Amino acid sequence: MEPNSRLSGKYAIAGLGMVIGLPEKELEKRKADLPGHPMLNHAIASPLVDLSAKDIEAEAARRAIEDAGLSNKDIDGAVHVHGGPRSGRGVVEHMDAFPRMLGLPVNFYYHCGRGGGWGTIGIITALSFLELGLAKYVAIAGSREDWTRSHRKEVRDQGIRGQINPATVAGMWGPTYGRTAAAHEHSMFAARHKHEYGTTETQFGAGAIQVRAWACKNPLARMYGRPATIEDYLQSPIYIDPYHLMDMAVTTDGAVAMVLTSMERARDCPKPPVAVLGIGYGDAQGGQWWEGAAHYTKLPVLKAKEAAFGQAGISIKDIDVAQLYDCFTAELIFQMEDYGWCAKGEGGAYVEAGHIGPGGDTPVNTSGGLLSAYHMADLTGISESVFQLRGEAGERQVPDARLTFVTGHGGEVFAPGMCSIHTTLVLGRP
Amino acid sequence: MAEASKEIPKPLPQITPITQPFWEAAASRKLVMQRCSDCRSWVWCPRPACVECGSEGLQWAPVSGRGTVFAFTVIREVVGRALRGFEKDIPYITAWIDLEEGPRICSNVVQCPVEKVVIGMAVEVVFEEAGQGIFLPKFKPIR
Ligand SMILES: [Zn+2]
Repeated sequence: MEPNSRLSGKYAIAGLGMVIGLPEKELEKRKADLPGHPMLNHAIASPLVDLSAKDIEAEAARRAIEDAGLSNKDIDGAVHVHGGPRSGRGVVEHMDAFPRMLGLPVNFYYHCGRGGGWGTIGIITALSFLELGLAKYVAIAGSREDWTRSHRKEVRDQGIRGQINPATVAGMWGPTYGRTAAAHEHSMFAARHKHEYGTTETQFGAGAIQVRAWACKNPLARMYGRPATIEDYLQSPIYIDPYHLMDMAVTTDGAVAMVLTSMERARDCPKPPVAVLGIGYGDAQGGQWWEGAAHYTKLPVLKAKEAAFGQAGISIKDIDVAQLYDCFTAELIFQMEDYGWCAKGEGGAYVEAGHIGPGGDTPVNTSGGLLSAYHMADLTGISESVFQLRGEAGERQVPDARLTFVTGHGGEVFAPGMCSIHTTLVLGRP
Repeated sequence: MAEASKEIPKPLPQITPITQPFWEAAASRKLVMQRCSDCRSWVWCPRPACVECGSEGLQWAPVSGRGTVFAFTVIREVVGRALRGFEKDIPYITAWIDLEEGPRICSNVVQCPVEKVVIGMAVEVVFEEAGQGIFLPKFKPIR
């Protein structure tokens, strides 16, 4: 297929910066066991002490600028990304974060984001600055301090990663009926997929342990050094039916930043450029109860995929490695089906057959994903794509990885408990 | 000090002008929903205009209170102060119920051991007093 977008390949990620929290003792041990390991350069001790999310965001941005071989004075556009105004922390608290802290001489600065698609939405914004000639080098950064927050009393009281929106506050659903968390709604998607397609506990577990196996190859991953077998999974307690703890994402303190510029300029930067080849967006607002059950066990992938893959001129068979939004294990299975690696209903069997883990023919979430590495929304997948496409992924490198895509998921939750958005970002070696 | 006086409250609905008729009917043990007087669609959750045709001619009408379990989960641990009142109910079922009329509504399945609940199970509404004169529609198995 021919690419159908003028953006395709015209812009690139030229720099990447990361700061990811690990428990202090664990971090010391890893540094002693793996002296000089490049992934550990991105680590910081968690919970954060005397550091705010703003601080680590500015640090990630500084590192991204350095990684691109640039200095702060080169950065003439900036984008702060976040999960949206209801993502727990006020947006306002974050608005003047890194560009002011680093003294970036920006021609344009804005904040944006929605759900778990912040990285991709930030890239769209950065590309608009570049395309309009408002900037030559745009820094994007986003952060979260969910781990630290989960240790603070006022946050424990609210429940970490609680989902509050007008409908739940109104009491038509949500807390009135004893549910507030993402897991409360997402576990029911899994239950329903089991009911409709006969998906099994072992199949959900197979996703969790394969992503865990990738995490064991990434010393920056929270679950590095903690391999798990399907027996471990099945013997662990059920936390919220049908989910075990391993079916759910980790919480993370961290920040990820990148520098976007034209491909022409990116070629002059020290690291190999990562081309932006396609971007797509899907909205689940169609999937309401009056349209029947069908939308409940699939994500709004179709439009997002068609747009992004169409711009890039690719099909699913061309993908070397994928970074899917694995907030829970059912979302992995849904995306195997919705992106067309297998037919609807066969995602459980596909994952159980071992396709997605190390050695499989469809490597997915090679960082260890949101499930076992770090939950920086789609910035987890974007950072991992950069490592893979540059050939910097070390023990987890997919040989000759040239083409990848990253998905985002989340946003406002609407009845019946569904997430509203899906994003697809295709990245590749130029 | 009596233990009962320290019972932790559960979250109550926020009653708004739009939802008030729903909660007033629930207090008299009736389940009602909005229905469009133009296109006859059922509308849920309560809102100012019809989701199908945009008409503002919505009227509250009784529904049967019968339905089936569309999806459910068993909550075995509560996190955060908001749900502490539910601790004594653990394990409890939170579910989406498909009403005979079509709307899919959030509720709990009650009066049934958690291991007996299955997707597709026939249920009917019961009203549970939640305090401050508010009654919540919940669902129990139809024998
Ligand atoms: Zn109507």
